[in-house]
Amino acid sequence: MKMKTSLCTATLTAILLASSSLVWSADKSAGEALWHQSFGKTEAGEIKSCTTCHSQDLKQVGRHITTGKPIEPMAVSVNPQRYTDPEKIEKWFKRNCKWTLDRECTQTEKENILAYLKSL
Amino acid sequence: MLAAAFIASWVSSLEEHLMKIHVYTGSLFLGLALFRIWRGFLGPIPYRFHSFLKPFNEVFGYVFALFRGQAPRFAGHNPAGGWSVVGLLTLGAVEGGLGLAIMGGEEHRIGPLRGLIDTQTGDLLSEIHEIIAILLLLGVVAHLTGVLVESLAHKENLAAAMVHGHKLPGVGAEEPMPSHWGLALFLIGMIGVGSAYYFKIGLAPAPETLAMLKSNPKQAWVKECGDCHFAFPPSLLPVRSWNLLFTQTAKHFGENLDLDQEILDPLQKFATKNAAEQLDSEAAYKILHSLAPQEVPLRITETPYWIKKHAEISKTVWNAPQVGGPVQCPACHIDADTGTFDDDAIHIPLQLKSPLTHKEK
Repeated sequence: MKMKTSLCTATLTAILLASSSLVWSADKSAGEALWHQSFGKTEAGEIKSCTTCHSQDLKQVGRHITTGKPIEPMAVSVNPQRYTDPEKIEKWFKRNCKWTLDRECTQTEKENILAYLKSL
Repeated sequence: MLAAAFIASWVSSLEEHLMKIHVYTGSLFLGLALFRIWRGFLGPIPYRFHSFLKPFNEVFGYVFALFRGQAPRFAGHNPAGGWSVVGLLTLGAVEGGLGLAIMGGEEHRIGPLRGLIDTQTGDLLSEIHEIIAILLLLGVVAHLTGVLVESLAHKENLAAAMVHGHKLPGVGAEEPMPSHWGLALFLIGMIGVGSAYYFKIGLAPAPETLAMLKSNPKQAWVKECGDCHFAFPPSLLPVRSWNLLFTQTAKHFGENLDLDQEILDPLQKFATKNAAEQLDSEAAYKILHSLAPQEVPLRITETPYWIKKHAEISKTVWNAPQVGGPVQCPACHIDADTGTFDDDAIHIPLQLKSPLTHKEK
């Protein structure tokens, strides 16, 4: 009896763990939604979104909204150098989330966006 | 040839990006003027200054005679023309010498006088260079008027006489004009070799200048600044501007740079060590001196010198995709990353003259 209970608990825990890891695993479509979401406007009146600088088509070169500097494509399929340097990823998430969302992104948000970008 | 070099120098001085041609024609002019001066002392008799330089009373006598329509003929230059030749050659040699000094001090820090003159002196000399250029032009006009007057008075083509060396007989014709085809060919050959060398290889900038510009440990600068915009050479703003910029990194033109202090500190040190006060380049010097002492510009494009130098750039050029606005120095200044900003390194994309084609999205 005791054995059965513990087996049940184990199974339940396993199922719970598995489902929670499903919930917690990066959500590509959530990342995509966040990427295209608008977050108000800048003082100069530009819409704040990831696409403001990275352009709508991630396989294309983007353009820095104030300086006009070209930004290499985000899609790994055309730019394999992307997402190979963890330090760089963190630096730009930090800076760009603050510009776009006025706050840092959560770990989940970052993972979702990365999953989306890596899938392109 | 001297006349052609003079005209070409004048024309090429009008546009900044023709500086390479100006240096070439100016050098040619100086060389030919010095050659003529040498011939004036040691050349064949009709070339020598003492053969056609007459005392001033003779000069006036000649001019008065000319007005009365009784001017005598001279085999060489007439007394008035003789002094005009000496005057023009002297001015010309001084002008060429100044040009060399400016090259050495301000423009490119190249040529025989490179490194001997600082930007400030070079700047002053270039003012004198401009004044003498105007005097020379007036002198040339006067000289040509004289040629025209004498040609008409004596019904003789003096310009043709200059080329072939034969003139109708007159006072002092005892010395025949020597033929100098060999010398002429030699001179033309020398100019040909010199031109080929100049346009193929060019002149080397002063090594100390290059060292100053390239030894900077600027990888971090290029990496951190260049991620978002062209990594402007620090020499384009004064120390006070850089110090102010580094106090506002959380609001860097509307963006929070979010850089740790251990990254920012070396960048600030690099900027202030290579600011406009520290680097002896034309751009640095002139930007710095166009600012009032209390002015602390945060943008290079706010400095009076920058504004003055770019006043003629049209909106079409700024907005063209190959340019992309005033922040993109390297779009037109091919030496922008060294900070030299030489006149002959200016290259406004030529495609701007043709209709623009837009990439499809």
